[in-house]
Amino acid sequence: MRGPCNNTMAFKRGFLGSLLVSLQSSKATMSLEERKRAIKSSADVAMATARGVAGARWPQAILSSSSSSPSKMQAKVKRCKNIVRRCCHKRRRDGNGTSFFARTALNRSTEVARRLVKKRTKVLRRMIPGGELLDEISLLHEAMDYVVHLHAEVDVLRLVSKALQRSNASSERFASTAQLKEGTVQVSGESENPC
Amino acid sequence: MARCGGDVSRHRKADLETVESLCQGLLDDVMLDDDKCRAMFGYLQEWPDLASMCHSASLLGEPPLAPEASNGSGSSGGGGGFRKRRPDSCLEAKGKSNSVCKRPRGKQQPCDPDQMAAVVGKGKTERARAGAKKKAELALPKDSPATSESTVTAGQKTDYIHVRARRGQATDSHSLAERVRRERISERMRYLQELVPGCNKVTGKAGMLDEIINYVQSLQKQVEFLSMKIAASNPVVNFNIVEDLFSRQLSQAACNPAALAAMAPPIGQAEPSCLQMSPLQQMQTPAGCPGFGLEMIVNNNLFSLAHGGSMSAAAAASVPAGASVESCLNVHGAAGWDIGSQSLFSGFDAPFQSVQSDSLLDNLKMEM
Repeated sequence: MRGPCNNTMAFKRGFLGSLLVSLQSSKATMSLEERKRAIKSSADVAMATARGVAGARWPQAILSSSSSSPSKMQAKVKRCKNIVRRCCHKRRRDGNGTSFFARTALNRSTEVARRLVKKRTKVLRRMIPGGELLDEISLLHEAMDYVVHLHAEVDVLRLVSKALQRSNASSERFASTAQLKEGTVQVSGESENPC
Repeated sequence: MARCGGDVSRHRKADLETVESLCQGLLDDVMLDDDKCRAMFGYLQEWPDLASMCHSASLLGEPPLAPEASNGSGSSGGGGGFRKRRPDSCLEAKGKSNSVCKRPRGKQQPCDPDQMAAVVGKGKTERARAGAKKKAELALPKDSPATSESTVTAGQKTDYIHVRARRGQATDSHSLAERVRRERISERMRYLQELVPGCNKVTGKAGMLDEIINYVQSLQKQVEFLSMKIAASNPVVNFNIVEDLFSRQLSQAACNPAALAAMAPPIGQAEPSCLQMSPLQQMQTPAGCPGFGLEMIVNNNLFSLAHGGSMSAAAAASVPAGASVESCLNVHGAAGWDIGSQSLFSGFDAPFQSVQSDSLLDNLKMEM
């Protein structure tokens, strides 16, 4: 990807560091689901912190949504988000002035295209953290940023899981060989003892 | 994205310079007949008028442009905050060389119905297709040869966006702002096209948005799947397992005392890279595998260290295996790693590199 490689590397490094820290500090006894959720949330938080708050809005959105808040606060936050969303929609609708064109449009296909674009923009907004409050231009910018960092995150996670798998496999082998060794030592010890 | 923004601004500045030089060349070389001459000088004269118009337009059109904060150049203040014209469209105009420009005031005869129709037509095409701008521009009557953006060379490095209204287009502030907004969107779309794989075949906003959505969804699903995998392969979600494993391997890997001594410091920190190395070491002794695999990994490490810029002493690929192991590990130990970051990324540096070493390890395992 164009752009300096060092930035991606720095991000990956920071991400992995924060990921390990957050994983190490997690509780020991958890079910699979909880573990998966913990890993995922810690990965998101790590990505957000590694990204920093400069030049993008999704890290803040992730951090604010993940920071523990009681249900009351969450309801408040949701309500505020709805209000802002409604205001943004209203402003966008007024500022666009596309209704005139829609009325005089000779080409129905452009209407369809516009509707499709709007629908997909809505979907994109939902997928990108903090995207609901952005306008189209910044939404695309955020999407770019988010995609890049998500890609890096996936790479790091893949390598981590591979390493863990390998370590598990080798640890199993170690365990078996260690048991064998212990067994042989015991046997030899026992055989020696009566003598 | 600060990085991308910085790139874009740098890109822009470089393009601006080339446009300037090109326009200077044009002004010098081109044989100007009366009409063209008048038109070209008309722009240069008209620029201040346009600037003032843009300024007034800016005050009206401020709200839609306010939230944009992604430009690399200095952010504008409250009112009248525009930025330099995008040289992407400059390049487009250059390439086509038939961009239309506004005639001097005296000669311009805008007729409103035509203009409105033209705007409508252009608006539709521009909205429907990202690349249709060219079509719309080509359809308009050709007016002058030079690039419309040549007046950027007028040396005005102000903070205004100088928007050139094309011939036959409404010049009121709203449509100008609309055009700026649309161009920005299409510019971002183009960048996204480069980012998202497989987006090159699709044109148009709707299709590309679809691709982007699919890509983001797939990435998020991959994150979920990988986190599930990590959770499943780890009975306890912490990385003490790695430390235990590592210490055991240390006791067993008796072949390389130097390696042992150097390996001792980064216990529990250098997770995948050491895991790459240590199983290989262990395999090395019994299987009598030549240093080939180890060399590969170590060379990867060294290469990545050099790449990461942490150690300038990283050797080339031709270092013999034993010495390279030692030097690499000494480097590891001496660097004083913080939690996992740097040593881990000796393996992460170039994904294909680590993938190579992974496959190598797998092969060696299978040989055993």
